[in-house]
Amino acid sequence: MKKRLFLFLPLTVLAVMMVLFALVLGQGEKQEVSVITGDIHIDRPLPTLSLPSLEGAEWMTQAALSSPDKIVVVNFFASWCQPCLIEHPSLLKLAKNPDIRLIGIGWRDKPDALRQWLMRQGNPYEMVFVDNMGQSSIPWGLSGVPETFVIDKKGRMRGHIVGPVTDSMLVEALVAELRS
Amino acid sequence: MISEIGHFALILAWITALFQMLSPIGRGRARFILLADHAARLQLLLVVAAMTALMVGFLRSDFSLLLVVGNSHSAKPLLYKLGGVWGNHEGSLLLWILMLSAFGAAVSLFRRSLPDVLRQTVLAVMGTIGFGFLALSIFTSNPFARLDPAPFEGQDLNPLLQDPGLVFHPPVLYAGYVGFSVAFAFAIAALCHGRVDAVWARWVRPWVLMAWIFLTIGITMGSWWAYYELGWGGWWFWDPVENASLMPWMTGTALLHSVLVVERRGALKTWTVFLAILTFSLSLLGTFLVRSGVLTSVHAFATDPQRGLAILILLGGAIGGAFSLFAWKGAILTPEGAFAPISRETGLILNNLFLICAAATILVGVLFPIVNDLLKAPSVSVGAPFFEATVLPLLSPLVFLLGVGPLIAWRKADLAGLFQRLRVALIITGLAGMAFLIFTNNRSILAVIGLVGAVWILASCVTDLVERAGGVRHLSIRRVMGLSGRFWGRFLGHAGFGVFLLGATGTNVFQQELMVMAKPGQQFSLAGFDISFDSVATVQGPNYRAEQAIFTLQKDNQKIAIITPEKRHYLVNNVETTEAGIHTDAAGDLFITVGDPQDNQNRLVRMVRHPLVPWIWIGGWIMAAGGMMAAMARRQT
Repeated sequence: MKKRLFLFLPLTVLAVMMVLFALVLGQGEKQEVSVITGDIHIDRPLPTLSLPSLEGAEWMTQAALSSPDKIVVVNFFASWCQPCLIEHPSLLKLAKNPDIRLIGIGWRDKPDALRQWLMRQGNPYEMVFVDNMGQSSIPWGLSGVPETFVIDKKGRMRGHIVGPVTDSMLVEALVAELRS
Repeated sequence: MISEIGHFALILAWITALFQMLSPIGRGRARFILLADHAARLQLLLVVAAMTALMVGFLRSDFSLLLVVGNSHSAKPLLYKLGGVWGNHEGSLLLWILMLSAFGAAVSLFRRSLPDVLRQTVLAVMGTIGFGFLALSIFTSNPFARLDPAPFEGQDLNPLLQDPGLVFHPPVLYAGYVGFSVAFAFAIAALCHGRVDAVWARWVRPWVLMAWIFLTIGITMGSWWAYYELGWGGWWFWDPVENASLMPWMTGTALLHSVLVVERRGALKTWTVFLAILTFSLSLLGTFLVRSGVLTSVHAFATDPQRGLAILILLGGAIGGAFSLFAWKGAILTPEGAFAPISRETGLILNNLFLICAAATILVGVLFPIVNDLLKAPSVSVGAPFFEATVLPLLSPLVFLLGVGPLIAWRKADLAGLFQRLRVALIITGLAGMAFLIFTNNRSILAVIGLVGAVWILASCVTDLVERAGGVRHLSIRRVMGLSGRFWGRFLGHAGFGVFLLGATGTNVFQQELMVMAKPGQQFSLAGFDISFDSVATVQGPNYRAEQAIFTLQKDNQKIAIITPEKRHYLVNNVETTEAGIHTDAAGDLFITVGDPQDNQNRLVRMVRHPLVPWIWIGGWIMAAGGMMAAMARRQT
């Protein structure tokens, strides 16, 4: 009898997967919409973190993340990350906004891979830092990549976007609001 | 007109598949067996006719066909017009069906001593699959759909797919995927007739080998394409599409080994049947994942949900039906052949266990984004770090087993004697390990396992060779040449994996890189080469314009080669691609890519020495050659 039960195992796994796939297909055309979520870091000082820059010369400190006349947008990305490709065009657009200082953090990735990726896709970032070991995950509350944070002039976190930034307008609106 | 004939042939093939599927109602009568055979061959002819019609449409740039408009252009080189036939959903589905009917016809033609009733059941199962997929093609993805009015020019094929490697890669890969349908059909037949024995295993084995060879070559070619075409020097990206081909390869490799146990010892019957079903199921799943748009991937074609649903229903029917039969009848297969804990059988079970766990882990990684999606969480990627951290450690014990396995005796082995026989290989491996620790400062466990493991595999393969040829004292060319095809299959299969491992780890550990902003006229040196950046020229391709940088490569003041990386601009679809310039020698590759000019006419030049990298693909080809030797080996009766 035990063997009989074991024989039903593949069928059960298949049934679960089929339901899963059917549900995904049932959603139809999915629109990726970026949402600014509230979380524990919002309106609080930034978590402290020190990371080497991609060129190795500088370190990411609180100073690099704050700017007296610009809103800082910190984007976590990786060369192996597929959804990052989706948001990349919006980031290139955001980079043109004079009110924004866009900073990239390569998460769980090697400097080589990051450099090649940026060479291929275009580099929207003013500065890029490397978080090879993923040590920023816990202090920043990261669940994966891409994730984006908006920081105001006082160095406080004001927005957190989980998943691709598909709508650069959303970030620009927040930036405009923070500026005024 | 030709397209209409093609369309009609496709419909006729569908009806033929129906007859093939229903042939078992004749309950083994000779006429019905003949029906199954003839249907299988006729189906192949009809599908070939349909495929030819579609190819003619592409070669003549018939822009009244919707598919040609979307994927071709009159200025495109002939070879890529051909590649355009399967560079899209409809055409690749037709290619899939063509492979299926070719394997069906092959089962009917190369039957040897295969009993009639068993062959009929196998053909009926394959006819059923063909019936389903032909319906999918005819009703949801008609490759012959017309466009009225016809435009004057097409939209061209995705430039990344315009590469000789990609013209031949999909047919080979598909032959691998679809080839496992034969093993699947044999497994279903075995469940229907309640019989799995050494004779059954002997029939199945060549078909499993055939599919495995194609899949191995297909994956090797795909990885090579990614290496030089995607232009950033990696050769495996854990992309969903790559993973979709790796999973059936792993379970197929497991199947190859477990069939051996059934053949020799009559054990692992239920497990082998399960693996046969699983491997083809994963092939189907791969097709579904790529075609349905469930996953986002760089490889994905344009998709629509309606079609995805049709593929899902087909998939559920085929796999669900097979596993239901397995659940219902799997218990009737009784195992024979007892064996001790230390024996060849145990080794092969461990091989299966690790391969299946690795495949299951990849499946979890592939499905994770889908589950994440359903939980309404935004798409966040786990990607390569997940696979590297989970799959590679699972494969590591295999490296050790692979060296020991071929030398272990069936039934019951003597452990002390085994180490005695492997002592030379163990000493060589130990020395390699020490050399690695002394001469490099890389301390990653996976790097050690990879490089030292490669030495271990190659050393034990040689030990195996020497032992089979009568020991060191009696070794002679004549004795080595006289070894059986089955031995050479195993030797090349295993040694090929060793060579692959050496290339894969070596390129990772010893890579040297130089990245500079440079103008023509500048000189660099890397890994013993002197590289001079000579000039940049604009060149005109058939359907693109390129900026070509010219580098001269020198070693000890001897000119070795000219390397010409390009930045191409495809005019029709307005896409830029980076073509790497590569110089290959026995020790590795020198890989150069050039970026766009910056403000002061400087360009970002990236020069990388990838040591040992060609051995990755040479290893793949050696493995495939091993499969070939084993498949051609005379059967032991």
